[in-house]
Amino acid sequence: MLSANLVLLTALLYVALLFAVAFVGDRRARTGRLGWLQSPLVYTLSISVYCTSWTFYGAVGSAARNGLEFATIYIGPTLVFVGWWVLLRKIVRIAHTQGITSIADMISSRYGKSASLAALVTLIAVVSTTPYIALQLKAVATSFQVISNSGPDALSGTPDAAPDFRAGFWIAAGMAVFTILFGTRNIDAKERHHGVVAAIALEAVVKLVALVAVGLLVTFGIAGGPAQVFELPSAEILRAQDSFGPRWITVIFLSAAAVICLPRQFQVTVVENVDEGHLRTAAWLFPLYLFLISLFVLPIAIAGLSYLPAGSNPDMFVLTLPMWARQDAVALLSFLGGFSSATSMVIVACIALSTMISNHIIMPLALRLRWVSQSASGEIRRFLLASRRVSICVMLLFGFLYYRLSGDSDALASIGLIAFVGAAQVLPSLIGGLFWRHANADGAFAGLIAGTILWAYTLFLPSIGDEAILSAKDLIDGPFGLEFLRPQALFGLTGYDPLVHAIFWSLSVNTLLFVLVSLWREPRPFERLQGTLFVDVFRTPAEATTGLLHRSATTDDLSMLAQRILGADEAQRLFRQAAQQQGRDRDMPIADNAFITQLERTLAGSIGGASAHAMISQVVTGETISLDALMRIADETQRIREYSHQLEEKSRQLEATARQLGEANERLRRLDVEKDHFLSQVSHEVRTPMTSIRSFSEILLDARDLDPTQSEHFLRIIHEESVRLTRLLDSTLELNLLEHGEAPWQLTRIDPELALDNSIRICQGLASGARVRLLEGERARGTMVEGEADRLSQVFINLISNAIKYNTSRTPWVLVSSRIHHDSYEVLIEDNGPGIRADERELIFSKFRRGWAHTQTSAPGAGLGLAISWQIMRRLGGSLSLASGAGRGACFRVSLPYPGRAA
Amino acid sequence: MKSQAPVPARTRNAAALLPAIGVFLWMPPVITLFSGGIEVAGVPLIVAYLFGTWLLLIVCAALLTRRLGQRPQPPMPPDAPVGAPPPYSGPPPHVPPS
Repeated sequence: MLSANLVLLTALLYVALLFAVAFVGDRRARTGRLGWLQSPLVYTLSISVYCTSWTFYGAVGSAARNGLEFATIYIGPTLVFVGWWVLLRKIVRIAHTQGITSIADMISSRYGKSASLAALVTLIAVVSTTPYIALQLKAVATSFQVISNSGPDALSGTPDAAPDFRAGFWIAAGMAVFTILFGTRNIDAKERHHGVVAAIALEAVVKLVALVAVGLLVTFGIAGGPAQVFELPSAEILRAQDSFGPRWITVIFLSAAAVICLPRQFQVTVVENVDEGHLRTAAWLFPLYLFLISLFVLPIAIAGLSYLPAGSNPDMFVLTLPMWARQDAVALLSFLGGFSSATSMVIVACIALSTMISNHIIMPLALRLRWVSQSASGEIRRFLLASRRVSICVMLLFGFLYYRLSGDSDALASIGLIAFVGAAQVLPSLIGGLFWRHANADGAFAGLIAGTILWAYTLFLPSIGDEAILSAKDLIDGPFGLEFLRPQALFGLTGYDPLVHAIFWSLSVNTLLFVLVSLWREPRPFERLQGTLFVDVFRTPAEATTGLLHRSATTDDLSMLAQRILGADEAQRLFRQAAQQQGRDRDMPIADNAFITQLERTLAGSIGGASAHAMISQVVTGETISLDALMRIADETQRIREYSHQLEEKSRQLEATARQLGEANERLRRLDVEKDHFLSQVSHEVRTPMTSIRSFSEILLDARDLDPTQSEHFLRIIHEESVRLTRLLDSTLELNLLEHGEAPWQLTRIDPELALDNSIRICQGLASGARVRLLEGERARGTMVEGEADRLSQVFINLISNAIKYNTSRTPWVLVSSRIHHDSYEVLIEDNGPGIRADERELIFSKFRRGWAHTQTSAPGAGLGLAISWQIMRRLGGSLSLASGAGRGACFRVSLPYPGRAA
Repeated sequence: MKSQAPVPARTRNAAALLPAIGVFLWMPPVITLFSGGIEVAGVPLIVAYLFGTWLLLIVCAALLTRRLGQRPQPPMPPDAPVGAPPPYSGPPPHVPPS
């Protein structure tokens, strides 16, 4: 067993260590050697002020009673931090640009720097935090009694003696000294407390180490492993049927709201944030901290239920289990962990609340009632410091009194969640203000008041108990016997857990009123200005905001104001800096809009946005808000959205155009290749006759003694070759005309059969010369089509003569027939020659292709005949194609549209 | 602060989606799927599930945050045409001494 004196000595040494750490931290910050004080690790550890003694001791108690429900308290913050990009980043950015000092300042600044709204949020915070501070005092006092208890029921976790209020009082006094020393040393322009943060970070490490040490001792030292822990009979706590009901959802939501809205959380997460980039680390490191804190909660709860005597207080398992195992060192560490959780919460809460009380309640009153001298330099600053110190003492005194009055009743046990619900009333106004431009002060006011009243009536007042305000009878029958006003079954809503019931009523009415009133009333210009700055904080450049508010003041007035609030040195430094920025070599800057805005933000960092605005307004004249500029900024967002939409549209169009261009390019390239091919073919075809002409004419020129027959032979060859050349060039020209001829042909009604007869007659001579039988098949006599007889004959002659010339069959024949087929007039020219090879079928109608290239006949021809025929048929509106031949030969089909037999 | 380079939209959307995934995993009805009496290596499935997904979410957040924190490469000079060949980065061409 540990003696009370040893415990007390350890606690005092620990407190001395905290003072030393805070002192060193403060010293380093003052001399500008921030170093590790500004590291993301310290920032993350300071956020863990979320884990108070209520979670250090209470999580195990909650697990022992309700199984997994304890995890909800940690899951909510995990979700918020994992999603930092959406919410926390925006809040921190706004706080940096606006010089926000507290959650009340945040709400008030958003809604036109309304002083009354700030006071309201401060009141809500004070009311919901005081019992919470009492809870911490009680936890420390109880844990001290438990650990130093040497009585027979030491392990029960319930001190036998009456509550030791003396311990509670001295703890409260100690914390007041610490908080005043390090929390209100000076009015920092940015309301940051590096010494306090350093001490809090150390305490965060101690509580984590303590809880993990107890967890390891229980899991591996006592039980012998995780599997063994869950085999204990008390693991039944996990079997709760309705673990994941409405309460599960509600508490996750609630804890998520609390980690943003609780004044102390806002203080460490937002106000003490030095660098927005630290959020990146906290986004995963803080959830990891919560994960580690909750990892051993279940094993400790299960082991406590199994090993400790029945009826032991589960809220003290963290302390009593090591005592039971006779591990005094671990027990002492555990006590220090609980002590750390309690003290860090109280210190940060006191700092946050004292800032809020002095800035938003005392300061506006002092200004109105002229409590402070308006002339003395630094007077306001001294007044603020004094009021903060007094507020801290008052807060702690209230906390102690609450603890003293509620005594050893269970009223405090549930105060953690009750405080969460109170803090969550700020959530609709906060979230709405961040994302909804039309949200306005009246809406926030209505929602906050209604929500808070409902919270107090349905949850807070019933929890106080002791017949203080609401009697037990009121709870059951409703006040004045009005049943529909029963606090825990409002308007007859029964069957829900009181917490779920209270959250439902307070937050839904809060949100509804906030939205409806905001919609019903137009925001004032200044509210609209602030709303734009908040909602569009990532889109509005800093330069654009200074032109929104037009004010003028004399530099002297401003200087006096700054000196009163900041003190002479600080004010002088600020003015000199501004003068340098404006490029003036004197000490005094020009009091333009930008400077007044900058000064107001600096002052807001000390006395809060609402008071700073009020004080600046006293010295400036002609405050006008440029609504045009405001509308422009508001529209800017819309415009950017539209613009990006247009860009998208345009890029889609460009894509389509590019695709079309690509296709056209591809077509052009193909044509180019075709043209090159054509040119090389033409050159080739021209070259052969040219070569023979040249060589024969050279022979004729060189050899003088040629005999006349020989020279005549040579001349004949030259002549033949020139004729061939002319023919080739004629054909090329003709093809060119056909392909690119502009004027359409004059088509007349003709009898195609006559043209066919004519062609057959012309080819008869050729056929008999080549010993080819020219046969006529069935004919479709008496048809009339649109066409041109000469051209048609040309096609027929070309096809028939090709069929004759390239027929290498032993008994060659060519069959010509015609018919009407599917509304077209068709002429089929068939032969029993070698046919067209399958791979050539596609190409025979292109230039310089001889479908019969493989036949090795010596028949002359430029290879343009089929191409010309194909073009002619195209211009006549018909077609020339290769019919899939029945036999081995080729079968060409000429077809022309046939309007009808009646024609 | 406003000079921060933009974060790719894909990463931004993922960052906004992560808490939604957490809500999905930890809210009924999904979480009730795991609340049966089954055990994984001696630990009740629901406990393993809760802490496992928790750790998973933390790892995802850490990875995403690293990507959100990356400063993208400096923006291209405005006159650089889209799709222009990359600037020559090999050894300097040999220039004979004059």
